[in-house]
Amino acid sequence: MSRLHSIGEVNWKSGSLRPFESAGSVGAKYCYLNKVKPIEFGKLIEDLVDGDFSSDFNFTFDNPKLKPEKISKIFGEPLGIAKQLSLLKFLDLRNLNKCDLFNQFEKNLRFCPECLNHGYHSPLHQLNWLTKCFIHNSALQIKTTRSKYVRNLNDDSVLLTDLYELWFENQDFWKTSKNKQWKLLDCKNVSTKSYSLLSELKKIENRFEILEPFTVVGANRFSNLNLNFHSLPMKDSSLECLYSPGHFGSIKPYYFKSNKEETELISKFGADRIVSLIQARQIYCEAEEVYPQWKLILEELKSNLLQNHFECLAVYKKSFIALETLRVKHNPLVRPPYNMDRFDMVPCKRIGTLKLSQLLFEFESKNLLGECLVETLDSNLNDFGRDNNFVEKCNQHQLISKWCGKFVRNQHEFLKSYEPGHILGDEIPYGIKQVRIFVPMGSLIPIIDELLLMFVYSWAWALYELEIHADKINYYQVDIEQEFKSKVIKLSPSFLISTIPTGIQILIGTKVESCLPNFTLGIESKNHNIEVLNKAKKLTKIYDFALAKSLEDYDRARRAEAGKYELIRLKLIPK
Amino acid sequence: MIDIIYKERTNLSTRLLAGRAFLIKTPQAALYLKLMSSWLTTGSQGAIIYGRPRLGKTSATRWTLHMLPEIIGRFPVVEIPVRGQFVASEKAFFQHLLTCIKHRHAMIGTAGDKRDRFSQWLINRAIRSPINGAVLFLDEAQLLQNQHYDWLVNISNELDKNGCRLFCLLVGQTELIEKKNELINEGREQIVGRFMVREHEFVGLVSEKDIISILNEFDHTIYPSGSDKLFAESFIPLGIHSGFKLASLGPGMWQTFEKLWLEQGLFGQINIPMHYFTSALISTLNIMVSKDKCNLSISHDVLVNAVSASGFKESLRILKAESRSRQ
Repeated sequence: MSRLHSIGEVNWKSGSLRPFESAGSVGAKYCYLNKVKPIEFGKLIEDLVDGDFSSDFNFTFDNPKLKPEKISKIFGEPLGIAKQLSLLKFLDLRNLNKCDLFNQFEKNLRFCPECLNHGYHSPLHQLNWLTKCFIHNSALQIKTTRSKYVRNLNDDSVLLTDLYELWFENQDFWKTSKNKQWKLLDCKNVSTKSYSLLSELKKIENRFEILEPFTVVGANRFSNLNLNFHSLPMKDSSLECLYSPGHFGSIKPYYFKSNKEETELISKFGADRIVSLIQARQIYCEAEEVYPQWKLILEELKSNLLQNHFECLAVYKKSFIALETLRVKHNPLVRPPYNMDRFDMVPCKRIGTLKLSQLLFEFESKNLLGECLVETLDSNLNDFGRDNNFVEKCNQHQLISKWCGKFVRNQHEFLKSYEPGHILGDEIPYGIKQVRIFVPMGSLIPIIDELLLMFVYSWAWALYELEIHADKINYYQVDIEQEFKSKVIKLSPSFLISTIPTGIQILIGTKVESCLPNFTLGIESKNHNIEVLNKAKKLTKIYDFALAKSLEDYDRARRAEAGKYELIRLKLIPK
Repeated sequence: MIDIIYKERTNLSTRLLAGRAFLIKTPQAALYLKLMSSWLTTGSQGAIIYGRPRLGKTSATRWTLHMLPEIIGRFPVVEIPVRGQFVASEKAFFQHLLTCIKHRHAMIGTAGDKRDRFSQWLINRAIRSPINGAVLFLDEAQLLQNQHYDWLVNISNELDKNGCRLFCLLVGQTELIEKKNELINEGREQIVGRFMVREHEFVGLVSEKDIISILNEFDHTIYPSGSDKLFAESFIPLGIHSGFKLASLGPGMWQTFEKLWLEQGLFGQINIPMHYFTSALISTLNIMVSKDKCNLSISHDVLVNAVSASGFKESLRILKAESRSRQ
């Protein structure tokens, strides 16, 4: 007897299955028609699977072991429709799926009221960047109350239980749900609209591979995705009106005039070379004391951060001075009473932010563009120089040029002035560094400066997001520097450089606004300074207690060691 | 080789007697088909088919329901062998109905869930049939209790609400008529009026013509299906190839059955249950296996022996005892 035969008869209204219908939707109808609980639908799915059941899929019908032939037979539905239930089969979007933002499915039920009124729901409705229904163009809604998990159904559990509630317990959402005939969507229409959406996604997927080499700093696939969506000719595209462009951030086009030869050369730079030139530009501006807009913005950010927090820094400094007295004893256990890796272990969380903000001014080993040593950068630029003809041509057109200069190292660590003494690690090598690197020149400078400006904004916003979510970070006890760096990657912009008749066009895809975040919001209260003082006292007390205990342990261990030697000495002396 | 043929033949005989080999058209079944077709197309919601045991009511009903789609189109049929219940339970009743349709969820839920599940199953199928209805074939319906009828009325109403019709075909023994009268006396018109207005008394083979007609059907039956082999060919291949027809046995068999009937002192119309007739035919064929040859002829003695071995004589004794007790 075949396995399907053993499944038995089930109640189903033939002809009510639609392409790309969610298992939640099918399950809700199944449970209603068979008068069973959702778990029974989960068991049916398990029985319909060939071999061992695996629930590693967001959506039940995506399981390749779930054969459409069996679904077709058990429900008495056409095989053609049963074959169109798996989204994965049709959405082989390797690149898009790598983007978390694209591949995000809403965990709550997300629905189109029109579709619901015709007994239809699709996993495509769950794609949370789609704001409108791909069939009706109407705004998608979210049901926030979440239901229980049902075995074997994963994300479909919520859909099933919620749809059941909306359809069969509250008939307002599907007026014909309890009628002898269900009012359903036209199968052909659903199929056409679904395929239209899927083909648009396929176009973006294909476009991804074409654009990849031109996008700068590909670490952030969010803004990359944004660029891909935007760079499509969206006119007449069914996708244009379905998603909110803001979901993937904003797109800004910039135009730079250059002659034909320059344009051709710039378009050949590629992502890695552009990044190297951005870093070279940072060094050049630092050494030559040039102040393009991005640098002014950085300075503004620094002063914004410091504003109203000098008192906090004074408290911070005072603790270091106090420690210096203790340090006289040369006790290795003595350290500042604050943990700079935690927002909750400093008197004011702004001190943590300020500590991180130093990284924005770094252009050596800890550079936020990719932790590139100046020496490595130099060799990168030499690699760059291997293409002699290209370098020559760039030189000829004054796009790049070899620059020799020197700069003071580690000047970015401005917080050092509030940390007197040498408590935190070794002596910092200030010194002067001599460099000889390629730097952007001529018509490349405004391009590089514009890109750098967008990076500076994204870093500032990363810092801001970190500070406002300080409580959450404290709760999870995450290292704030690591968290900041991952935030930087998440918010970093992407660039698409292309040629236009008058020069170069740069599309910048970014998730952040082109302005500095307001760091004064939600931090300062009237009693802020008192709060900081109290916190400093509290942290010092905690530290003092821990220090006393450590010293006691240390002393005990020292005495024990000494006693051991005494005992050995006594044993050695004969009575 | 001989063993295999013997086994095949034994298999065939037992399957035929168990009613699992094939269904044969009988004059009674043909009349039944005509009646059913008329009932289903004139809006009736039920009928009772009653008769003595072993007449072949169940097989005739199966044959009729099998043939009906060719006349009026496909419709859902559920065959329910009714089980006697000491105390009628709605949950057990609907669970039994769901089990009969091999429903996946026959065992779970409350009585209400099971009733709804069964109704929904029927509605989903009935709504797509050309007659907008479904047939419940309740075999041994004399075992149904009053409450069972109420539950059937509920299902019927449920289908009615959804624009479909339920036809309850109550097949059973003569007690069914007594049940009908009892329900009339109790004033339960809603049951009688719905399911019992149409009635038909099923009889066995009543004439030589009936027997010849059935033997003719056997002559044309190919079995096993897809084998291109006539049914009788499995027993007497040489005889069949040389032109022997089972129908030629008709007069002889009728005389034998008639003789036994008269010998028992029974009056009235001779009524040969289909079971004894089939049994006698199978016996005859099994006896003739060893005597198979071209231009085969079967002696009257063989038929007499076969009919005696069928158990017909014993059944007549019971019938006689029953008629005496009725007097």
